[in-house]
Amino acid sequence: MVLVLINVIIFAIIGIARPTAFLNWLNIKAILSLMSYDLLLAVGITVVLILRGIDLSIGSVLALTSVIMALMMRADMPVLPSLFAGLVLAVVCGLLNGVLIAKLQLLPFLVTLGMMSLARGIATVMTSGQYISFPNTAEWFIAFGRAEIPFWKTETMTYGFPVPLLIALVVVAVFGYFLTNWKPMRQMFFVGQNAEAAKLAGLSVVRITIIGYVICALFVWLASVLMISSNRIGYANYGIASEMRAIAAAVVGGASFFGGSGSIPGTFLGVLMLALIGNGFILLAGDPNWQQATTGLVLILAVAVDAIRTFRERKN
Amino acid sequence: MLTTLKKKLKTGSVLQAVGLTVIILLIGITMQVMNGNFLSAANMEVMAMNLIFEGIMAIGMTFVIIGGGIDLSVSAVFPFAEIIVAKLMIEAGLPIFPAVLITLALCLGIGLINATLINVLRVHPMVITMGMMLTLRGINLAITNGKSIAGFSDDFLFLGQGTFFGINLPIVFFLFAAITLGYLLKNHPYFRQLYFIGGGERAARLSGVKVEQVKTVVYMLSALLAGIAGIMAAAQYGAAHWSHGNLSELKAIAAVAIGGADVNGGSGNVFGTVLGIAFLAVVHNAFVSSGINTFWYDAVNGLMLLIAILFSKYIERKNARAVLSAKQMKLDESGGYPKANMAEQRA
Repeated sequence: MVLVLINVIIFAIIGIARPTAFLNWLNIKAILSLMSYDLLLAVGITVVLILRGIDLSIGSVLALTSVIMALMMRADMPVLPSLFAGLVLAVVCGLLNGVLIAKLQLLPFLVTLGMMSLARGIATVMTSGQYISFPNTAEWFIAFGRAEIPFWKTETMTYGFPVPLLIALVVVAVFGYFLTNWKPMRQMFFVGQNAEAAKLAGLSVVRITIIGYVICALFVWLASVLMISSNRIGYANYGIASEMRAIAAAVVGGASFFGGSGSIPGTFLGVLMLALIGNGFILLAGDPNWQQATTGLVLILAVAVDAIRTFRERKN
Repeated sequence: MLTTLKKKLKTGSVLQAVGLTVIILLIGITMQVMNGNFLSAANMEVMAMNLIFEGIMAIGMTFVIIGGGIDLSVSAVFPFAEIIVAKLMIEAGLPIFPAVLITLALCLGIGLINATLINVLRVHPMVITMGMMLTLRGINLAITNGKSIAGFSDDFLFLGQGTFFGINLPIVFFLFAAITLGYLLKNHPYFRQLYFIGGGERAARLSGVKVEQVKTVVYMLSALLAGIAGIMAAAQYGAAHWSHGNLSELKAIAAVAIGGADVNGGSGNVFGTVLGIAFLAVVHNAFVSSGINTFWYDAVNGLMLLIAILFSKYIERKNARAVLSAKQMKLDESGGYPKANMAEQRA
């Protein structure tokens, strides 16, 4: 509730200060479109945070899958097998993270830090740091990334809703429903809150944790598909520092580093807030260079809020 | 009885140090046989200078990791120090000494902020230092507009390019820091407390260790070393740029983990870290001189970090088993179960 209010306040501030540039369908559409990737990544991170883990490798896995899929399509492979190869790769990365963390009991952030460097390195090697375009791919794949569903026509322009954003929103909404209402998913909260108790209660903690990391990787894959479809290139430097934004958004939205909490609507509002702040910075200060610093500050602030919240709960 | 227990505990880390040395020598000999110039003085110097700044950071990271923490912000403190010292000297026209002093003071301040946030909020240090890294990197980018700053005086450049008895100054500083800090860590009671804290913070606090204070000192030390590395790097490159030192925290952590420290805290030493950084340097050098695509380097770095933490886990389990079997031996010697022992003692 507070988050909705904060979002409205930020929206109002920017809207009043820069009415023409901000309250413009093109600008709002740009915010929302860019948000769709961050939203998918942040939802993935939320699952991992609920399980009291962390995944720093999402940005790199995003880049790696984008590169693999783009390279395959460049080699004139059909679209669906290419996408499937990317899916398999993402799942392998998620499985590897999950097995090392859950089965071998290694620290999540170290494992995923290693994976971060590994995946980014492989992506760079495969592309030599170049953009990978795929000009001969099927039309529909290139088209859908920038397609819009028109919902309102005026004489000067057509207002359309971007398809990738729609896909992201629908997937996230469906997933959010299952996360709160489907028993196997609800078990994740239990495992995250108290792994020992969950184990004694007969849950397979190891399996649930591994599944969590794989789910996170699936969201990363989806973000990657939408990204290469709308950008029309694969690139080894996609998603740098996106894991930080995703973590910050999830924590702002109520996920905790102590595990066991987090919600999809909260994460959505967190992502929206970061996107609005980023856009506001560009419109108000005119200097996009400060944007990265604000993400860091928001992360620290979110952590502080999370810590205070946890203290209070413990006192009660 | 206690000595055998100690011996058993030690074998794990000694084994690792010996093994690491053997691997480093093997890579060196292979490269020498293949290329013939590996052991030349020029290549040795290149190799030593290559990861020297990461090495300086890794010394501070050793302290942090032993205390059960982690400091990701070093990779942003490093270019921050470069930029601040460049701004102070080139744009504000300060002489070397005050410029360096102010820069180091600011770095200490960053360490203090890190430690204070970690102590007050009691969140995993990774999150705080990651936030700090992001913030600082953003600040670095914003205050330089992404441009590099150059034009240092020759006196300042000496700090990075000068030699002392024929050895480059950064190497001299690295060795000096490794020896003094390594000695202090091994022998000074204040730093010995770190092992206690890393082994179990609650236990340490309950036995009267000033956990918050020790942590603060350690994070400030880490930031200070990163700052010194940054200043020397600015002097060596002759320029400051916000993207310098990217991913250096990864190499520093990898060096510490490869050197045999437990990444969960409680064990490790500076000598191991020095071996770890030597290993990374040799591998990097082998990569470059054997003509493999250098883009592989990032991937290999990540892989080595994963292998290092796996190995660290293996050693930890081995040690745990050694402790268990030592306990078992003790039980066997005393000829009974702990309950019986306690009953005897009571009687």
